[in-house]
Formats: sequence, structure tokens, C-alpha cells
Amino acid sequence: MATKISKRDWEALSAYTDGQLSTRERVHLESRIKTEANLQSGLEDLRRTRAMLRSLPKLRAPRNYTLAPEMVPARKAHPRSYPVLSLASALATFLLVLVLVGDFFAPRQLAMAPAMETQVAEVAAEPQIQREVPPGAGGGVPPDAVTGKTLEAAPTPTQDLQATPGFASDTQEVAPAEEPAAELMEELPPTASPSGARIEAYPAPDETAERELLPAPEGEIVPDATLGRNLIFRILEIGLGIIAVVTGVAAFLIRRGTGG
Amino acid sequence: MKKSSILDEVALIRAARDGDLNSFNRLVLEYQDLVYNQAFRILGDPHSADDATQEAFVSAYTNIRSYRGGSFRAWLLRIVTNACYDELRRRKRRPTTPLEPLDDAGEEIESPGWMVDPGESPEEASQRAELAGAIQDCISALPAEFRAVVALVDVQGLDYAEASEAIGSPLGTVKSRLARARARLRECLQGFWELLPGAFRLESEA
Repeated sequence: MATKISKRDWEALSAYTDGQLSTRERVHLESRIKTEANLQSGLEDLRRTRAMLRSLPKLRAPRNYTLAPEMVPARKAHPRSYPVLSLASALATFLLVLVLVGDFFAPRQLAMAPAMETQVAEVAAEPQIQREVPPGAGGGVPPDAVTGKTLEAAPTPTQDLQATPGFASDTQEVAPAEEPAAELMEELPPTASPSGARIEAYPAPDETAERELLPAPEGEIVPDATLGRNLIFRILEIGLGIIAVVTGVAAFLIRRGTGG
Repeated sequence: MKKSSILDEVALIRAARDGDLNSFNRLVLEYQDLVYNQAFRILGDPHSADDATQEAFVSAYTNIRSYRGGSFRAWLLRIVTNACYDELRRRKRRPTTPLEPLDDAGEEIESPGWMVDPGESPEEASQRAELAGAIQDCISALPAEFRAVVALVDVQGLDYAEASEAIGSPLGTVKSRLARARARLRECLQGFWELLPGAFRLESEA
């Protein structure tokens, strides 16, 4: 052979002689074989080699290789428990997958529900706040004040919910210059928490407003339900996991023990 | 394989799985030539091939429950190929096995008697034996994994897919190993081209 053939071309030629190329590859290779002498020569060599290999006689086995019972280890039959354990393992695994899928989707829905309800409540509450907070009752913002200020001063449900020590500065922003509030705050004992101060100092809007500002009652119950569900999911997952593993291992050991 | 014989084979395999040794032995009789050929082409000597074939059938019967359908022939060839790899590893550790078969008197013989076609003239038989010996020597000079693929595709006539099943490697591996093996064999066999019988020469030129 005059020119060296690349490994890739040789592989293509080899597959070509066995008819293992796709139509596209075959057409491409055939067009190259027509123009490239080294591929022609390679193909000829390959065909010759293949023919030599195929000229090898098919040998007959020199004897029979049939097995006598003493040549093979006695095979024990699987005990009756084997199919039961196998089935139990498969079933537990299947249920575990179902529970995991349920677990994956269920908490998201539950977590999303209160958040959505809060948002709806915020949107619904804001105009009511402007309407229902009595002028000068707590916010002290005069009705003719700039609308922006009114909105700033109005307690949103979120602010109400966030009335924790960490939000003390917000509290001050919300009711900044109210003298009665300031006085009350001064009167408070030093141990009183800022949030407590805010709650005391902030004149409560009437109860209807308060109720409307709070998220839907379901929102308060949902965390408990989520916890309950999560607990059930964990128990199921762990239980099914243990059953699947234990029965699976037992079935495997039985199968191994019986040589199957 | 005919449909009825495939059905027979399935029934025999099922019975063998249930421990029926007679059914398994019918499968042995069906496949022993094929399994022996594979062992002989990989190992290069009849004694080792004989041992590997027997070992393969014992192993096949013991592990028949691990057969999960597909080509039974490929499954058997995989077992015997692995048995041959084990034998080659043993040889590497203790290289004492003779490469040529021995006759009853313990003398080396050039080629086993069953390789000779009784209808041939002595000269033809001698040439054929020489060619077969040369090809086998060239195959034996290949790395073991190349030998297995050449034996499966070029000697046993399996297609790439079945060969891939038999060696437990992807189709691409079969394709690549076969091409590399043939490249080496081409160089090794160049001097023996004239010994190739006319019928095969015509086939190669087709």
C-alpha cells in the first residue's frame, strides 16, 4: 500500500466491507474510493484479509460437552418466601416513589397559598385603609394631607404582621410625629419591647379594618396543616424505604443462597 | 434459525432454568461447535479450548437464571469468551501450556485432524492446513480483545450487534476493534495470500 490510510478511513472501509455503513456514509466513501488510490488499495487488502479469515474451517467439537449431574452443583429451589419478598420490595419501592412525588409537589402548593392570600389581602385592604382609618385617630394624618403621606402612614397588613422587635425602626417611620404616641412611648417602662410600644401607641383602627387587614383565616391554619402533612410524608418515606431495603436485601440473599 | 426451533430453544431454556439438566444438554449439543470454535480461535490450542468450552457450559448452566432473553448464542459466546480471558490470564501467570496440540504419543502435531477435509488431495490438505495455521498464528498474535471480535465476526459470522452483545461492549467498540484487528492481520497475512483457495479469492474480489 503506497499511502497510509488514517485510522478513521480504515474503520470506515472495514465497516463498508461488512455492509455496516449508513447509506449516506456509504455513498460518501464510495465516491472517495473512486478518486483515492490508497483507499482502493486498502479496500482490496481488507477484502483479501476478510476472505482469508472466512476461509478458516468451522471446527467440530472434539467431544460432547453435555453435563452430568455430578459436574454441576445441586441447585436449590427458591423458598416460597422469595417471590413474596421480591414483590413486597418492588411494591414498597413503587409506593415510595409515589410518596416522594407527592411530597415534592404538595408543600409547594401549601406554601404558595398563604402568600397568595396575603397578597390579595394587601391589594384589597389598601383602599379600605385610606377609607376606614379615622382621621387623626392614630396616624394623625390630616385628610387633606398629600395622598402619598397617607399611604405611607397607613398601616398595611404586612406592617402589622411585621410588628416585631426587628421592625422597630419601621414603626417609628410609620408614626413619626404623633405627640400622643411619643408621650406614651416615654411612659412605657424600659422593659417594654418596641413592638409592644408600637401596638400600644398605635391607635387601633376599628375592628372591621383590622380583620380585613389580616390574611385569610386559612393562612393561619395552613402552617399547622403543612407540618402535619410533612410529618406524615416523612413517616411514610422512612417506613416504605425501610421495607423496600429490608425485603430487597432478604430476597437478594435468598436468591444468592440458592445459586440463582 | 427457524421459528419452531426458536420456540424449542425458549422451552429448553425455561426447562433448564427450572433445573432440567436434560433440556440444558440439548442446548449444549446445539451450540458446542460454536462455543468450541470461539474458544479455539481465542486460545489457539485445542486442549485449552476443550477446557474452556467445558468450563463455559458448566458456568452457563449454573448461571442460567441470569439469562434475561435476547440472543442465547451471544450469551453463550460471552461466557466462553470470558472463560478464555481467564485462561489467558492464568497462562500469563504460569506460561506452561504447549501452543501446538499433541498426538497420542505426546508429539506435537501441526494441525488437528478434524481440520482436514477428507475429500481433498494431500497437497490441497497440506496447503489448507498451512493457511489455517498461519491465520491462527496471526490471530493468536493479536491482543485478546481483538481476537475475540475477529473470531465472532470474521470466523463465526455474527453481525456487529450480536458481537457487541457477546462481548458486552458498545457497537462502536466492535467496529473499531475489528478494523484495528484486520489492519494488523493484513500485515501478518500478506505472505500467505497465494495459499488462499480460489473460491475465497473470487469472493474477496467481488
